[in-house]
Amino acid sequence: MSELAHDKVSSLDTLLRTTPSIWRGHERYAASSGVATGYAALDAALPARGWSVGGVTELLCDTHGIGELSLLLPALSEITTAGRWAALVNPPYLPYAPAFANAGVRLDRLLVVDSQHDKDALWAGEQLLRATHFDVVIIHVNRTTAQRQRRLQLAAEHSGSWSVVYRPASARDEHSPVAVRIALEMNEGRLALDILKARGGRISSLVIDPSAFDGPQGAEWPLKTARERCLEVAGLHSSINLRVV
Amino acid sequence: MLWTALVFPSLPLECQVVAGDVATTNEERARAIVQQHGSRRSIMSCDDAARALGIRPGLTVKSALAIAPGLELIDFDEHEQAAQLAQLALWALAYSSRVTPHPPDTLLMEVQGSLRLFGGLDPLLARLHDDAVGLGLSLRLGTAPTPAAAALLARAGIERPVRTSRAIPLAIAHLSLDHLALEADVRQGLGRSGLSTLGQLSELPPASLTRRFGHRLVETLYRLDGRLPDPQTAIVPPPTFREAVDLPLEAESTAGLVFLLRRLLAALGGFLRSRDVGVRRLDLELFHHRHAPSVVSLRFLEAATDVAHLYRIATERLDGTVLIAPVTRLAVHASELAEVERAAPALLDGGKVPDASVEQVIETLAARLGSEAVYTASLSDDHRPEKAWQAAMLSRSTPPGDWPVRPLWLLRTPRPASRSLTVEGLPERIENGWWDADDVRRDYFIGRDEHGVHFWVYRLRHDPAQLWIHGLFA
Repeated sequence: MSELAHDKVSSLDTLLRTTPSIWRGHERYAASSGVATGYAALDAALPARGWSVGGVTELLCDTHGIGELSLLLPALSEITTAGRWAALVNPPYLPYAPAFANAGVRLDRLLVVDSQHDKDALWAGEQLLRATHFDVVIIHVNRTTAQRQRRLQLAAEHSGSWSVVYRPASARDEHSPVAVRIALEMNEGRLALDILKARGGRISSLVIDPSAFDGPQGAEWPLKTARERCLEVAGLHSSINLRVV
Repeated sequence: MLWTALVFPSLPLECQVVAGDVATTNEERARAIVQQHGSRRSIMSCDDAARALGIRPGLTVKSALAIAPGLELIDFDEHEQAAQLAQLALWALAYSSRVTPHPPDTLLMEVQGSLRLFGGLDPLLARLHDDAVGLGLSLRLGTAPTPAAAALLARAGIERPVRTSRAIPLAIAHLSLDHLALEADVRQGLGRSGLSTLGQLSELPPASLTRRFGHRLVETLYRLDGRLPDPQTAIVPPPTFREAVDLPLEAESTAGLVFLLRRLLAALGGFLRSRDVGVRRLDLELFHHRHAPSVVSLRFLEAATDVAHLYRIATERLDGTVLIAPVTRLAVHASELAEVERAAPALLDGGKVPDASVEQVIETLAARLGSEAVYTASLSDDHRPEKAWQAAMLSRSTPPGDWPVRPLWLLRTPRPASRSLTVEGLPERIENGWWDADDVRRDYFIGRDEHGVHFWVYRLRHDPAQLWIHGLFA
């Protein structure tokens, strides 16, 4: 009898753990799968031990050229070399093929979609998410609303794919019903990540040093001061500093 | 052999419906189709709204207008109706390779050969019904081993299939003679003799029937149960597809075209299936009054066979089309066809809709955003930064990346650097293209501004004072 009861409890437990739409507040998203970010400190800070699949990750940043896209390169490379599709919707500049090729991204699996308006970009993003072929859909928008973000989040949940939305940092204080929100900014030559929200995880901050991008960029990250080079040679250099708030 | 008859009892009326929503149209006004017999004009068929007002088929126009003065009368157009039926015959080719139209309102198709593909008769009939509803058509079905019996059952509204020839006499015995297409005087003569059902008629000796009513009547009876052969001439699908339909009302916006487009594409779907081809290019031709027709061309990356996909793309494109004048006629022309391999029947059996292919998703996006807005980048064999890549759709090869440091974002046109940039390291000299107009002689550096943003910058060799920003290391 008690065995039966125990069975029931454990099957309920399994159900609660394996159903992605049920989230229990006291535990982290340990079971749900993630795409490895390629940066150990970031993997550790995110509840899915990587980018959460089946949801939207919002990246808030105002300036381009701080390593905001390099952050995704390891995942992009992994997805495209596995023969799965990735999409880049409404990129602010021309995605430059040689650089992506350097980073190991399969170009014939990276779809670029240009659009005139944010509305079209979000529409295209949703179409791509609903199609099951695209593992990651990266969308750049200037303005969006919580309602539109919810549509993307639902589309991603539905198809189990991952969407990254870049939006301006001014949206930092707005409500957004997405799985993960990270604010990005340049801080003393390093990329500072501020995890504002992570469903099933905790908020934290971390810093990624430019030298960590060497691998993903496929070539040496542009700028290293003489001092940094010396430190690296001496083996004293720690590429990533993690600080949990 | 097993035959299914498709009878469209309200076809003339339904051809006049412009909008997809039949119900609202009916509420707005009562309509009736008028038939001319010599000098006598009478109601041939009418819609539900008219029926509610008391209009019945067979009424003269005068009495109908006395009952309902607001009744909208539409003259029956035999040619129009025949053209509509021919389009429906193409649509029916999706279900059977042997389809025969019998004007004014009947299609006969041989379904024995299609049973396996559709997983039995019931799923097949259900799909026919669903399709007809989607096209806004009312449909009656009848299934029997002979074409004549199938048509009779359909007219009588008996949908339950009769599977064997031996079961036919019993199944049709109680049916009224009105459902048979008999000449008027024969029908009257039978009525005067007190004969009203097929069962009564079949009990009489054929010789005396022939003597009194002519040999046609007995032949008709014999065709019902298969004692006389009843060969059907199946339509042969045309080598190309070009179908058009006149709009009952001029369409001011493309939204008015969508419903008719659906019917034309349904015919296209049957055509494609019967020929085992897909369409690579589809032209939608919109005819205007006193204007040259406008053409909306749809191109497909892989030969398209899925009607739902064609419809989605076509409506998306029409949505973004501005009409130069009201449309009077709509034509669909499959101008490029390509052979395709059909999905195995097993896919259909499961009732599972296969996911849209990547190509279909891309086409959906391109239909709204324009075809040049959706691409994958590929590398090209040129050292000049602007020419090292090209937009190419679905090229299958990726050379390995062994470029020197390159930025992820490239500016389409370089802009002069206004801010003070720190430039470090040795330049990468790119000197190329002296043979064409885009001669490039530049020294590339990596620059950094005070915020820590990294740029890909260059100096022109003949003007080293000015720094130009060409990319961002994102």
